[in-house]
Amino acid sequence: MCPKVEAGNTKEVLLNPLVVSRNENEQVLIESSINSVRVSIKIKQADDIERILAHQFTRFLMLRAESFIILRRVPIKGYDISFLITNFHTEQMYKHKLVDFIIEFMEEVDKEISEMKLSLNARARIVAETYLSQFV
Amino acid sequence: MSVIEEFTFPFCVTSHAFNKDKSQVALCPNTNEVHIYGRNGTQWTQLHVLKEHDLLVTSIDWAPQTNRIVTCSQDKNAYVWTLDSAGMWKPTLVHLRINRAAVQARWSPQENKFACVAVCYFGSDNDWWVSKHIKKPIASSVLSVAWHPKQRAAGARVFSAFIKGVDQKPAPSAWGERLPFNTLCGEFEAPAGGWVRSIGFSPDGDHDASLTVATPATGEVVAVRSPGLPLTSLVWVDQSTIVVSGHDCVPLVYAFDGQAWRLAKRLGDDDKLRRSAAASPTGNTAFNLFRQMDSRNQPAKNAAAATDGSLKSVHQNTITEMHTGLGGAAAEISTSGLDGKLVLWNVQA
Repeated sequence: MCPKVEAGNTKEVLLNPLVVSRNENEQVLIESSINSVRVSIKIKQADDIERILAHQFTRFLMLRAESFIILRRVPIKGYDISFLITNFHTEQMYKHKLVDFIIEFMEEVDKEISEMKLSLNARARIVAETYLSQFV
Repeated sequence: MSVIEEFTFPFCVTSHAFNKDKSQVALCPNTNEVHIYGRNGTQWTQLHVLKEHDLLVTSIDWAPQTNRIVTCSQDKNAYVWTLDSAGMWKPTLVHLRINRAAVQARWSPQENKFACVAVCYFGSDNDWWVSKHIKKPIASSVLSVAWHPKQRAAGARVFSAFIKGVDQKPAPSAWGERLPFNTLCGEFEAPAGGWVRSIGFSPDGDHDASLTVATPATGEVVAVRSPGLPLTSLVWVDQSTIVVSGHDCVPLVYAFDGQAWRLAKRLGDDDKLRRSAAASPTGNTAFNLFRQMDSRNQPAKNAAAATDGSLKSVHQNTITEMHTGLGGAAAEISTSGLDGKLVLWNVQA
């Protein structure tokens, strides 16, 4: 049976979607239905660098979506990354582990992007120093 | 309120039913088959495979007196299985005349009828199980059905979360005098508008983790919020005790203390051998994780999960079905879960 949250053709098996929001840049949308749930995450993007990094990073992950099993290949519009958990996933895997995975994933993505931003800035500084040192 | 016995099967047990003396159990291993296991000491050995359905079997019920099994499936059919003299289970197709999957089937207390989407009985003149539909059209799947001790049926549907009562044998009661078949005895809506996932007679458990108790005599509907994840099934143990279970992996016992329904205990928490530390008060692991991160400002390790990654509850995944009254004792219930566990509990001990 298809995941009803994706098909969306039967209204009565869909529950009200839920948005958990820290601010307008950091949101999680949870859409549930009778046999599936879709979790979409908007990653914090404060400036252009973070926007590029988040885009590249999520693209990298979503190209390998089948190894993450519950990752959706395309995010929901307005969000950066989406998970789709169906009844088959909860039958194969422990539910608390799935929850842990998503939480850990969110933490990791945040950490990864801020680390990448730091190293990018450090690299930019070194490049600028090296370039400008020839004029000293 | 302890575990009497616990068995693990190498598949998700989506549905189960015991026979009268608990010597055999019918299980659905999340496929289109039903396996019947016979008891061999502490082990179960497979005796029969009932293979007639085309799609996933959604519900099994074993009539203790007449020793018949009814199964219903997503292929919109139900079968009644009878044990013939050669010791084989013989299927009889019940034509349900429905356009949706059949989700739950239950024998009536006298075991001459069962309720699925429709009420089915054996038409002896044409040797065929006849289904009788409720006249008022039900515009969604019937997720749960239950029988009144006096042969009345109730069904819960997804969309509007109503309970219907259908009377068949007129008997004066709180539902009114002399009701013909098809009478809608009462409609109850869950207050929060969630799906009604399971009903006993007159109560219902619904998808937003609350428990609603409806008393037809006074028209009173009481909703009890539970702290955990959504509930999916319930059974009545006696007049003032309900056991509910669902996505939280722990069966909860609710008791009526004269004024209100209260959470009395969580089944399995007192099992010291298995669980050394106290379980979390809400049972909600992710919630506790975030709360600890918030209050201590540090990434806390998951409190409810042990170091080997298993939960402290007996079941490790969602409980799919509960049955009560095993071997004639109402306090004895059985649960099956997606983790492949089949557990027998004693609620009162």
